[in-house]
Amino acid sequence: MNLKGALPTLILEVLSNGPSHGYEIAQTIKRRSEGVLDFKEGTLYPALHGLEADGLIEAEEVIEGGRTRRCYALTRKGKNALKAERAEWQRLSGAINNILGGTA
Amino acid sequence: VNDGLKNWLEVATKNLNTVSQQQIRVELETHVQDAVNAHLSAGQNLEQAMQNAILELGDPTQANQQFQHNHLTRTELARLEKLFGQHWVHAILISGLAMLLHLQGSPWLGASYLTLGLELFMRVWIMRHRRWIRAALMLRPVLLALVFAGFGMHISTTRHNNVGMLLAVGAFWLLVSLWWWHSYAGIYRKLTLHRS
Repeated sequence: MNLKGALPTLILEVLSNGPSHGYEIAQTIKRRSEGVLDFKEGTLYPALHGLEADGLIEAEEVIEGGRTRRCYALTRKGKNALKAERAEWQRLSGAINNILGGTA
Repeated sequence: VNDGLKNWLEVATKNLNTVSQQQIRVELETHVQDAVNAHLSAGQNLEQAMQNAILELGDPTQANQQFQHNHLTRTELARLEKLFGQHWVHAILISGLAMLLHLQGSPWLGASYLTLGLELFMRVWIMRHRRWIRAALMLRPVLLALVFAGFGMHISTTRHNNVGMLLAVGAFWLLVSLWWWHSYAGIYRKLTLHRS
């Protein structure tokens, strides 16, 4: 399934469980969607850097097993943005369910 | 680094400034190493594992377009360096002109030129210390407002029926400021990621 546009929100959701690095974020999204949401991992990093530029997440470099990793964490602004995105998603999915469920 | 990965990274980081290129390369090399390890654990040989890890990254051209949206390109960095370049001579000349105008009885015009000179000195200082670049970009129209206000005051003290001229000065400032914010809004955002 094409993730275009939804990837930043999914990243924020994954990071709401705690700081994480790129590879782990990608695997978490794939695992939690049971493989339905698949995406090219090269697009994950521009999305992460975009969120960082917007101040929604912050990065910290950590040395792990002799390698430098950039670990990302949600900022306060990111938490607020995620809250708003969740509410918007509930509203939108509710509306679509109403139509597809034929309750109108 | 594997040749396939090297090529992928070269395309994905094309035209970006060198600091961002280096940061992205390190981050993606670590990512690919994790992916290769996972494939090796799943029973693939090293060649297959590396090939799959690179395939999973997707199209490097698409990644490059997205990276350019968030990182300063070389051209943008050169533009910034030119803007905050070594303007010592201009700053000194304009400040000198300001003093001359002040002494010749045009205090508002002098003040206007002095603000311009100070702004140039500020840009030199900012570039030397690599601090407050974002604030300077954002506040430049405010400083220009002071410059234009000086011109405006000069007009209003030297001419009669000058409302039209004052409106023209105000409109010109507004146009310059809008152009400025439009031109530098993208760079302003990208500076969050550019720390050197």
